[in-house]
Order: sequence, then C-alpha cells, then structure tokens
Amino acid sequence: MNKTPLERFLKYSSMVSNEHIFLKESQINSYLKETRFNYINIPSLNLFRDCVIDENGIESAIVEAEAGISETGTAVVMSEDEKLRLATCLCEELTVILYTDKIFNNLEDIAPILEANMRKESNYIAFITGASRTADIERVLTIGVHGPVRMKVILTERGE
Amino acid sequence: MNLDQKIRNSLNNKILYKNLKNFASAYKISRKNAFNGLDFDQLVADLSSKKSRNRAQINELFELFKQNATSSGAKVYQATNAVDACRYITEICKKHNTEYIAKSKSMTSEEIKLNEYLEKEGLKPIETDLGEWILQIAGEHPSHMVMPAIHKSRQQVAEIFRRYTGEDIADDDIDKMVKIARKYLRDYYFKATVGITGANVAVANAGAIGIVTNEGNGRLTSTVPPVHIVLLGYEKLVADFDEALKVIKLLPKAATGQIISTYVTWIKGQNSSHKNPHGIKETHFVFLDNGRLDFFDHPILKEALKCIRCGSCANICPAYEMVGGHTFGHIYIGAIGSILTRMYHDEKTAHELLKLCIGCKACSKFCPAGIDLQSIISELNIETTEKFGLPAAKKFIYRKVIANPSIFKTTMKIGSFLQIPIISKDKIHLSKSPLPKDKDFRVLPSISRETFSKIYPKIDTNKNSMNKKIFFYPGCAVEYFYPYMGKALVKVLNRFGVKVDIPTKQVCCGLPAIHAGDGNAGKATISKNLDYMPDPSNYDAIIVLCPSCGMAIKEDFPKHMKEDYTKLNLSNKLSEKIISFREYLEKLGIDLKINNNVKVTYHTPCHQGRGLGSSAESYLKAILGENFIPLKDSDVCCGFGGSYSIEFAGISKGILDKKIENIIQTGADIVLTDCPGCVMQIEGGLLKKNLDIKVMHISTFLDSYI
Repeated sequence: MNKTPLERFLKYSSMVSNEHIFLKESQINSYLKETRFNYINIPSLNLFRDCVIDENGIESAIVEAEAGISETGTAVVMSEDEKLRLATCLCEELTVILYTDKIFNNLEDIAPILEANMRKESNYIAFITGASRTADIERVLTIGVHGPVRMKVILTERGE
Repeated sequence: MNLDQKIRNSLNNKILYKNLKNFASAYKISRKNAFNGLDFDQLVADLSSKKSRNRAQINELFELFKQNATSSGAKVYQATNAVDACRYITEICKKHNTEYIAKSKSMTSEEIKLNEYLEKEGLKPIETDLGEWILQIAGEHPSHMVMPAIHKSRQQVAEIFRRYTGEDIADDDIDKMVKIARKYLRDYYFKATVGITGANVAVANAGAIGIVTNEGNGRLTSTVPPVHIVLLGYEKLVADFDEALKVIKLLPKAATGQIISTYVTWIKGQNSSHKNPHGIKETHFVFLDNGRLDFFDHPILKEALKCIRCGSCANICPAYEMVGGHTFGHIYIGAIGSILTRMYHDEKTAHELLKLCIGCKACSKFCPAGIDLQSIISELNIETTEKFGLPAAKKFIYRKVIANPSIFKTTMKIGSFLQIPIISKDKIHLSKSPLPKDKDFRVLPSISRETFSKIYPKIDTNKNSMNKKIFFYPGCAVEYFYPYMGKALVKVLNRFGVKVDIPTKQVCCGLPAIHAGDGNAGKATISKNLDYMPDPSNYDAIIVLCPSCGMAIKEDFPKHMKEDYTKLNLSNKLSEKIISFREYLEKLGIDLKINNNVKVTYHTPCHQGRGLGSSAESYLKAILGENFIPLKDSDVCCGFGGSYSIEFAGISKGILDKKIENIIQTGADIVLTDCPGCVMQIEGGLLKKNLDIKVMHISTFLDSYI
C-alpha cells in the first residue's frame, strides 16, 4: 500500500524516536503558553522569544520548519539567524513545527528550496532528523552526545 | 612494526575480532533495510556518471564555487600539498590568537596530519566527534573512516576517560561516558576562536558546502567559534544541489545503514557571528590538491576520486574484518585506503596494503559511487609490484613454471610422486601438510595421479544422441587436483545430449600471476592459453567449473590482450560466451530430479556471484525444495584466494572459521559450491576440524544424485 507523504514522514521520523503532536494552527498559541519554551522562532505566526544562550545551553526551543522530507523523516530548518542556530544546537529538547502541506516526498524535491535560498550571499540551512546521537562506543546507540536529547515534531494544518 | 607483525597482533586481538564481527553482521542487515524499496544500481549509476569529471571540468566547478562562496567575503585558498594546507590553517589560528581549536571529523585533516602540525605550533586542536576524541586522548588514530574507534571496547574507553578526567566511571556505563564527553567538549566550543570542519559536498553553482554528522558537532563547530575553516579535497565538488542530494541519499545508507544522518548542514558564505566585532563570521575554504588535480586525468585513479568516504568497502571486506584499519590501512583504510595511500602517501606502504586484498570483489559490488575498487587494486598491484619487485621464488613460479604448460605439467607430475609418502588413506588428500605449522589449517588435496586431460578420452559417451556441443575449459585445479569434477561434468552433459570438447593442451588462465601482481607473466600465460582456445562460434557455450578461470576469461583476457588484435578478437568472443556449468544447465532448462534426501546448503563463490554475476542459490532451491537450507552470508568469501591462503594464512583461516560457523548452523549434510578453490578451502577446513560435513562441487553432486 502506498503511504501518503505524511504517513511516510511519521514512519521515518518515528524510527529516530521523535515524538509527534498534532495541533491545529489555532491551538499553537495555547500550546506555547502551556509549555514554557526558552526560545521561540515561528515566523508564520509571527511568534518569537529570545533568551541568553551560553555553554550551559537552554532547556527548550521551538522553531518552524521550512519543509519536511517524508522519505527520511527530516525537518528542514532555515538557520541563518545565529540565535536560532545556537538554540537548536544547545537546547535539551527541540520542538519543530511542520506544516503538513510542506512535506515533500524525496530528498531530491528539496533541491529547488536549497537552490533558491542559497542565492543569497550567505545562508545556513539544517536538515534535522532526530536528537543528537552517537554509536561510537561499541556501536551502542546513545542519545544527546552534543545537542538535543529529545526531539518533538508538531504537525499542523494551515488555517483553523 | 612490519605488516606481518601487525597482522599477527590484530589476529590475536579478541576485542577487535568481536567488534568487527558484530559490526559486519549488523551492518549488512541495516544497510539492506535502508536501501529497501530503492533501486541501488540505478542510484549508483546516476551518481557515478555525474561524478565522472576530468581536471578541466573540476577546475570549472572550482572556479564557480569560488565565485559564489566569496561573494560575502569568505576566503578560498588553494593548498598545493599537506604542508601548505597546514601552514595556511596555522596562520589563521595564530592571527586570531586562539589557544583551542574545535575540530569536527575530517579525513582530509588526517590525510595532511593537521593535528600534529598544529600541536607542534603550540596550538590545541580538540576533536569533537566522540570517537575521534577518544582516540585523541588515547594518542591513537582512526581505524575506520566513519566509526573511528570501532577497535575499542567500552571497558577500554572507560579506562581512557577515567585516566583523563579522574572521574569515577563504571566499565560498562556507556551513557555516563557519553555524558562526560558532552560536558568536556561543550566547553571547548566556547573556548575556541576557530572551528575546523571538513565537507561532504561542495556545491559549485551555489558556493555552499554540506556537512553530515550524527552527533551535531559539525553544527556546533561551524556555529559557536567566530572563525570557521573548511578543509576539503577538490573531489568533494558537485555541480548543483541535485547532485549533492544524490550523495546525501546514498552516504548514510552505505556508511552505517541509516536512512539519513541526524544532521545535514548546508552553509554558504559568512553567516552572522556575534563574537566578531562586525557581527559576521570569518570563513575560509581550504581546497587541498596533494596530487588530486593530476589524478583527475589519470586513466585509472580518476575513478577513486568518486569516493564519498562512506567506508562500505571496509565494512564488507572479509580481510578488513579480520585485521581492522590499523593493519589494513595507512591513514585511509580498507580497499579505498590502499588506493588512496598510493595516491596521497607512501607507495611502498600502498604496495603492502594492496596485497591484503583477497580479490573477492565485495567492495566493488557495494560501493555507492560505483568504483570498481577491486580492478583498481589489481592494476595498482601490478604497477607497484613492477616497481618494488616480486620475491624471486614467486617470480620463478609464475614466469618459468605456470606460464609454460609443459614445464608446469612436469612439475605437477614430479609433485605427484614426491607426495606419495604423505598421501592419506582416502587417496585424494594429504595426511600431512607440506606447509609450515602456522600455515597448516586445512587438509590439502593430493595431486591426482592422472590429469583430467588424460582421463577425458576414457569417459564413456553416447555419441549418437548428441545434438549440442560445448567447449569445457578445465583450469589447473580440475586438471591436476580434481579431475573427477570434470569427469562428472562430461557425464551429466552427455546424458542430456551435449557433447563436450576440451583444449588439446591445458594452460593456466593467468589469474594467479595477475593476482600476485606479475602482469607480464599473466599476459604471457593468457597469450599461451589462447593458442589452445577454439573459435567460440562453433559452440553452444564455453563452460568452466572454476568461476575464477571464468572471470579471468571474461574480464582479464580482453584487458590484457589489447596489443594483439587477433587474440583480442578471440578473447572478446570467449568473454561473451563464458558461463559456469550450472548457468548452462539452467539455460538448457532441464528439469532435474534429485534422488536423495540429504540436507544441502550452498556457498556462493566470490567469482561466481560477483565475477560471473549469479549465484546458484535459487536454482538449487528449485531442484532441492525443502532439502535446501540457505547459508548465512553465502556470498561472503571463504578465505581461499589462491596463494593468498598461504601468504596470509592467518587471515585466510579466520575468514574460513566464520564460514564454517555458518555452515554448522545450517545443520546440512552437504555443502555445495561451484568452485574447486572453495572446495579446497572449505573441505580442507572441515576435515581439519574432523567435522562430518561433505563438500561437493555442483557437478559431482548432480552426477551422483540425478
């Protein structure tokens, strides 16, 4: 049976132990109030919160994904903003908001997005698929070696 | 330490053995799952054709990259060699007065020994990849390109960390070890003014690079310090994101069997960095030549520049699995390592490493960039052997004995007399090995009293009903050791109305000399061999019982006869028609019935599965039904490799032991295979261990049981 892009995204995103939450766009605001994120960067809803980020890291960050890739369960995050980069690298728990109409099938489908955004003089784009991991000691999978220890993906449909 | 000592040490290292064996077996499964539903061959063909570039084309991509990357003020430096690159990077670090340098894993930096250089200059580079950091603290080098510390046990890592941090860490508490690394390394990102990374791809039409990591250290290294240096080889250049994503699609799947690595980071130009006075990062791209640019125009080595550094040629290499990357590698490891050592490092070292290749071709089959590593190794082996020479005894054997069929025959005849005192009761084996004790791990077959050529005319044939005709090339193993396999072939084919012709004189196929690196002897042997080969158009097929001979006829005959038009022509015709006995039976479409009830398993010879291109597994399953039991890792080498099993007996034995373990697991009564070399190895090993499992060539099996 052929899976929809969303179903396939969930399959591969679950394989890297991501947690998935389904929210309507209108529910996001109250979700943010319930969950006190240290850092917020959701351009579509014009929601931002800044904080100090040093070597001690921060507890949580929520950012909006530019796109999703279903064949790998990946979130594509525009990371030109240095603070966003630091927040997504140094938080314990990373949450990504992904609009379901922005899920593409294959890696190749992202080429035009990369192409368009890299026309700028400088840019930084991240594909993120799960929490920071290593298997460098006896190939035992261990989470959170440098970056986030947990990753959540909020899947949102546009509109009410 | 010389290579022999290194091999001995590796073979005695139980941790290495266990880690590499477990990895090899888990890797195969996860890789298979990762590629599930994708057309691997098509993906490989696409990437390989995109990455076929000569020097002029690479130069064009470089100029384009430079133009795009520098538009925001980033610097692009072209380093001619290792010292040049190290010096340039050191200058930047000194200019910024940094004490620490955060480094994310880069094989290119290993290639130029960057850390050593920086440390001599009083700087402190810190490896932030966990595996690399463990080794840096321990004062060691990576033994694998993707999993640098694969040779270490958790207990060893715990000890390394205890000594370095003074903290209390239990021997098996991997979680705590990782937490400690997180704590210590986190500080260095913030102490360092300079971060150094490699790049997995450099996208020319955008001036952007892509970095793949699982840990996220590449992101931190390129984000936290205000200065970012990217060190990369020209071979990382790709035309556009479409090509770049083809690399990203294949790399993690081939490297670790992951669908994708956790982080793929795309960076263009100089991004924001609050630590710099103007709020802008200082970025340098250091392109390393170190001989690369010339190799883009090299007829053979240009292929090696397609490598995407996934390490799968090590992951599936049976010899690497026995000895690891500190022995089978210089700085780069495994099959590609022996080639890159010839390109970027010491030719003499490369010459030794190239010999560690057993010739099983698994690397070529699994390479996501479509590099035929085994062929390149074979060519380089000939090239370096010409330069550094072959031991006198070997030279004599390949040039004076094997290349000359009459002398070879006489030598074998003498051998058959000399062996009389040590022939065992079954008449077909030796009761005592003529080899020294450390190479004696198999019961060897005896030289047959009569050669196959001598037996052939005496085989009963029913000449009346022959309606097809094939030409059978027996090869040395059947001719001198296993004439009964040839006899079985003739009998089976005759039963089905196929007449069998053979050469009037038996000449070696040339493969042993070629594998030993003696190209001239190989060429002379092939040329002589062709004097006794017929016009293939008179035959339904050209058939072998030894797929190594078959592969030599298919690939090496045309390759080595380029200068002789007539013989090249004949070689090409033979190459088209050469198939194995079983493949021919399948082609005939005869419905066979097996008259016994024994449990049978099957080992796929390397040169059958990957050389001639098909395994007998499905055929045997069809004719044997439930009595056929699949063998785990059937297509993994048995460790024979001709003279390899004598020269590197320890490695050969180790590979064989794993094969035997899998054979025992099947519970089969008979192991079938279709290569006399594999029979020699597996049967010899089973007999030595006193295991009551029979080994038969498919020809003998069918003759006995249909």
